[in-house]
Amino acid sequence: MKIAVFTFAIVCSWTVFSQTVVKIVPLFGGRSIELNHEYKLKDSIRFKFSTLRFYVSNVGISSNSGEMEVKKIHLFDLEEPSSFELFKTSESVRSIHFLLGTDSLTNVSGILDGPLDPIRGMYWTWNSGYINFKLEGIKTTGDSITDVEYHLGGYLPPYATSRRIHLDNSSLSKELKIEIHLDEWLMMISDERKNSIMIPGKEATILMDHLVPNIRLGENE
Amino acid sequence: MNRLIFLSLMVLSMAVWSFKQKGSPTIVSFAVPQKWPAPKFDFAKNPLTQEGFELGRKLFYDPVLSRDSTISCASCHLQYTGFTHVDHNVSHGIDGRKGTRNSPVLINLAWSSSFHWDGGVNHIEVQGLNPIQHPAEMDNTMEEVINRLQRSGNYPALFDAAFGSKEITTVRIMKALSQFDLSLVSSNSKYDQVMRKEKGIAFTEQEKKGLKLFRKNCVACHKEPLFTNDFFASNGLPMDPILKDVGRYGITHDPKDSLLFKIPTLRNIEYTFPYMHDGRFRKLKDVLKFYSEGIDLKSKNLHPVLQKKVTLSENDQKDIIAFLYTLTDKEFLFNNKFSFPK
Repeated sequence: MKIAVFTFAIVCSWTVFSQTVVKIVPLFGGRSIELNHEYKLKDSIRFKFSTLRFYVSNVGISSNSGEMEVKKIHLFDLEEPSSFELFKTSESVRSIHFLLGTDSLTNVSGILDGPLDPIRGMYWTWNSGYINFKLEGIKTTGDSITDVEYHLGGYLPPYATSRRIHLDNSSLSKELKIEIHLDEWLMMISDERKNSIMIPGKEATILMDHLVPNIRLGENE
Repeated sequence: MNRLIFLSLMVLSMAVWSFKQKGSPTIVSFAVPQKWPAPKFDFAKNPLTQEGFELGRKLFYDPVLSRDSTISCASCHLQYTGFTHVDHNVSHGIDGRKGTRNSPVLINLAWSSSFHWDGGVNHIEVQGLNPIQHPAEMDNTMEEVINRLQRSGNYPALFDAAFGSKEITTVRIMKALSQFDLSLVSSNSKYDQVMRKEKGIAFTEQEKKGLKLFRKNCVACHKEPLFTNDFFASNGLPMDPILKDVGRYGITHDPKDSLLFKIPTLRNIEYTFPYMHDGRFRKLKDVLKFYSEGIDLKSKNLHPVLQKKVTLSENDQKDIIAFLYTLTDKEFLFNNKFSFPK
């Protein structure tokens, strides 16, 4: 009996410790972003995040066992630490692929619950569809303070805003981080874009395009 | 002994069966009127039930949905006027706030693939979120609505009956409201009775002339039997200089959609005045006069059918109106099933 319990405990421990945890980590200057903390973007520009929420959907991995879907829909919310972990797997992850945002089918499927419940503040009622990526904050340029509101959504072509992401992994680390380098993104868009985008359209698609190269796979050091 | 076991099992099975029957909502089949196309709504994904419909009806008539509990869905969608308002050109919300559009009728929505004058809402189940949250309408939040319904005396039991538990969620509220909306089928006007060749029902000579003129001039957009083709069009109506409503363009940002609006059904049109997306015409004769004399043939994105001048004499216009009156369905307008729940 004691041997059986011991074996069971060993198996359980092995299963837990052999799992790879994949987390989403928004970064600013290489450090995890905290809400309402002021970050320096350029010499004269500072930025404070008040909201950061976005959808990740159709998450799949490629492993020694082949291709597999590991999660259908995930809502990352910087206010909710429980949302930082995207998934766990006992597979050895060769690559991760997902849609940043929601797919078009989700946007035409009527009322949905869980992470897709409109009560989460990620749904446009007047122009049906999900806000795929929401960032709100305050930008201070010298003495001037500006509200920044990027509500990036829309599923209809030519202004569809979800973006397919593919990240290769060669690390053996048991904690992989999907890093979103928001400082680099904000630098790319700070001079040329509006501070407020609240509707589907060309500007939203450009901002989402700029996000793609700033999403990279890191590992726990 | 075996018989005793068998009988016990029978009694147990029947008890389980009757319990399940008692707890399950009653499925209601959606009746498609004879010779009508199949509905666009997929009832397999939100099956109509008696309990869901009743819950939806109660929510539809309950001002608890609005922030100050003063207006309900029925405030802008009155049954006896085809589930729209008639006393003003654009909809009114709480605190006397005014919207920018004429409230649309709620008729035969199961055959509609988009909602609102600009088609911005792509599914009936999410339509109800708009009036509840819009600052110029009910100006409420779904969190507050859910809290209020949870605290209310009878709603948890109604949700239990409709969905199998007392849990109140956005999804359940919207599914119940849409079940009520989808049930608003108008298919028993004089026109329908004539088309079904019901005994003793016939068009008058004037109505026949009107139907002929209608089929020649109007049916491209107002297709029978729904009297809409469910598309968008510009009918040449100039933009209101104050409202500055660009219509479908506001949703798609496609210049070809500028000034296009959803083509409304004409069913019960006798009672659904004022007309057009901004309610600018109070009388049907004004609408007919506009189509005959008021369209600027050079207006942007004008529907191809209207690019050739529509010529209707005064008598023609009267005949068409006589026909349009045959689309009135009093059984629908005064059906207690759709009225305030008592």
